Amino acid sequence: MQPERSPLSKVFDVPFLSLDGTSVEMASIIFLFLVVIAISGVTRRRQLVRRFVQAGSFLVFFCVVYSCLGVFGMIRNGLYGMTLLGSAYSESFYWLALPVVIISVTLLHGTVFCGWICPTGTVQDLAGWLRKRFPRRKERLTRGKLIGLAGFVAGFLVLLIWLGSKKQLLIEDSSVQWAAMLILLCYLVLAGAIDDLPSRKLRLFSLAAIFFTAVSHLVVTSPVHFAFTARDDPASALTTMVILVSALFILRPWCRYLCPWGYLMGFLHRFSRLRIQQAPGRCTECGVCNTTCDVAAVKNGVIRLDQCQFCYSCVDHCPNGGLRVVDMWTQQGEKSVVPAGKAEDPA
Amino acid sequence: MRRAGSLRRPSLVILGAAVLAVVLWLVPRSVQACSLWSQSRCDAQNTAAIELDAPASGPPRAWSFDGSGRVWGYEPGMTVWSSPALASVEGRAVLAAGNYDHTLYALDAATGERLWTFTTGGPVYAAPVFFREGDRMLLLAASTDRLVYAIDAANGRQVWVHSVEDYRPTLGGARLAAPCVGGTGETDNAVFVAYWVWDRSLANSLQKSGVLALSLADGKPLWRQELGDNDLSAPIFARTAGRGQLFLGSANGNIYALDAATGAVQWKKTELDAVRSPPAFFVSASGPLVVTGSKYGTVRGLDAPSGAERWSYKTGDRITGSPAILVGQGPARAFVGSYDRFMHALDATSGTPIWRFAARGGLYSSPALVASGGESMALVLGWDHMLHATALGSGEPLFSAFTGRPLWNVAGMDDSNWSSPVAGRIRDHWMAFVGSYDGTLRALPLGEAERAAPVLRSNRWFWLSFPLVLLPFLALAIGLTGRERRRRQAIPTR
Repeated sequence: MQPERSPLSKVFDVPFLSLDGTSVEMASIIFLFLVVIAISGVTRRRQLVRRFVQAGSFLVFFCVVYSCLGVFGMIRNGLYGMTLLGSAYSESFYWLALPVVIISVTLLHGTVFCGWICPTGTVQDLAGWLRKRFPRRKERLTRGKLIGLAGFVAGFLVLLIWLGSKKQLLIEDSSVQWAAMLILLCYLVLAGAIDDLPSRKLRLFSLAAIFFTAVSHLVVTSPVHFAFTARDDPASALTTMVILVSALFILRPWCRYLCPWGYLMGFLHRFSRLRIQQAPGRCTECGVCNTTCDVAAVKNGVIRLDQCQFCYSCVDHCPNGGLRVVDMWTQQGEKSVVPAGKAEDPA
Repeated sequence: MRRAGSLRRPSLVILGAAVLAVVLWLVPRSVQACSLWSQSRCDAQNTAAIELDAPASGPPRAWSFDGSGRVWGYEPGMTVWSSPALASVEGRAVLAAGNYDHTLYALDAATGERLWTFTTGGPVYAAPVFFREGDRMLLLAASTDRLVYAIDAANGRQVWVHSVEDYRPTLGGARLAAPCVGGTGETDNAVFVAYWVWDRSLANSLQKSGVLALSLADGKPLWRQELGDNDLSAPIFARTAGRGQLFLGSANGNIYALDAATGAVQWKKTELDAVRSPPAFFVSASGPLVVTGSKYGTVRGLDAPSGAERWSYKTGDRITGSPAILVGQGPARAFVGSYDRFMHALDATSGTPIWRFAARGGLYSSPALVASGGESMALVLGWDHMLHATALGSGEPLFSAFTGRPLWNVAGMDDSNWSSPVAGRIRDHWMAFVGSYDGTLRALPLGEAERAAPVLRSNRWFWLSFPLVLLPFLALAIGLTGRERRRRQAIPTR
């Protein structure tokens, strides 16, 4: 008898907490709510707590639940769930629940999903942590290293073509094309052929492409999709690996250049209740926030809302308490954490 | 000596009996193939395997028949090929299957030679069935044009036709399930068709479904039983205690048992989700049982006379195919494919799991249970686009053969009941027949199925989409950077 293959390391082979005995997963939604409530209550040792939340989310979504948190899948699932409204309620709930919860959370609490929960982000942070352990001396790579990197990119593309000729790859496996795109973009940014900030507008293009495929009933599986499903998805696994490798060179490259869900979150962030703002008169333009932000969403205390991932890193690292979380509904700011002796009198 | 002999004889008898028991245990359980394809999956056990007497057919070989001449846009519920049906007609093994090109095809099952075609007014998604009426073999088929056709299987000529709903201009679509043939009484034969029709006009606001019984001889309606307003599965016919019963499922989750003589609803059981395929029926030691599978992934054994639940078993994901029952030596077994990628083998009397076979994709089809060269196997199709064969006794994988990719890449393709495999024994060779969603109807001799199957290759759309994604992204990135640099140069430095 063929040995049973469980999808990666799922602990349960049936829904852990199902809706009325159905396959509709409730554990993921409950977990999301709990995490967001926990995040909103954290004020001390926030970065440490964030790492724990990221690790916990990673474990829960990879090992316990089946609901997909893929950045392509949530767009497609949300649209598909809407088409089922009025005819198949439980199925509609199944597809819509996670995207709706995450969008609601973003409108209430900013883009905490990106900074604290998203498994694709966690994968990149893991590589980013390694990168920070071995900082580069120069921002630009040497010519020799660039040639080596070009060889790596070419090798990846050749491997992809070889894989496609040997194995059946369908349109669903097109996430490998996003992987190829990412690795090329990283190379071009490192080589100085294209710039970081303008290239971030590609996320809109990525969103449009995924939206187009979704309304055309084409399925493109997300980078981390292989962990959420019961079926083999080598293309998704390969794309996740590419994201991991790319993040060794540029921090959170997927979030910067290609994440369609990230673009959507960034757009909604403009209307969210909470946002990080500069505390009036406290910024000394010391540049600490510039270096602590993994996605370079802040420059001298000025936050780019469409890029911010609400990780609180800038708030926690600012030596002068120059950044604070503001409730846009009441216009009240959270008390900034100012290291003793470093606060300056705003007057 | 005599005393010693008398002592030895009982021990020899015991030894012989023990050897016989061991041999019987070791011999694989044989499957009794059905004799006439009168139901959607051949018989009430859904075995979908038949032995054909076909001296006039050529030697069986692997063949394929392309039926994807024109590719329509995908709509939930549509299929390319219906599940095929097999029969021996005038000494030839004949395979009949409906196609989305509105046509019924009759092919020589041994060679793939086209015998005749019959065009209907709409796509034919429902499996046809065969039945002998007098001295001729009839092919009975239901089309989405609301018509039930009886066709002479020898030459493809129409014998009679009946519309389940009278035509009017505002009438929308119709979905007719596979017919089945049974007796309304002790001997009278009737065709039972489950239908779902709807009207587009607001004034009529018609959505109705039901089962219609037609006389096999002339297509005259015998009775009609309305069963709500949604899609129904094909009915199966079984005779219990001398009376005919029909069992069918519906998209609103109900399982019905009807009296075949009058159409009266004997019992109704409500499931948690849609029952998309016909149940299976068999007589267990404790009485007749109906085995159903639902989109909730639950398999249930129901008491056929009362509908009371005897057992249930939960698979990990939805079930869209029918269970198939192996009734032979030993306890009856139920085989059901699930979207959880497993084919589950259960004790059909108690629901106890026996083994499960893992495929690489969700299993959407009903299994076909075949006996080939003394070895019994189940054939099932999955979303890995493979036909999987497993040993019935142990669940050991025997072979997997690629059967083609779908014509569409659509998220909701699990809303369609795609064609299920069937098997036929022609001139001592077992063949599997698969109407694939790539548009091709394939015949694979079981001994060489893997060799005869097409080679797995990447989708051309996959390769085409490569430059479609990469080139615009790169051009855009370079363009955006160029624009930004020009903008920066234009700003005078302070």
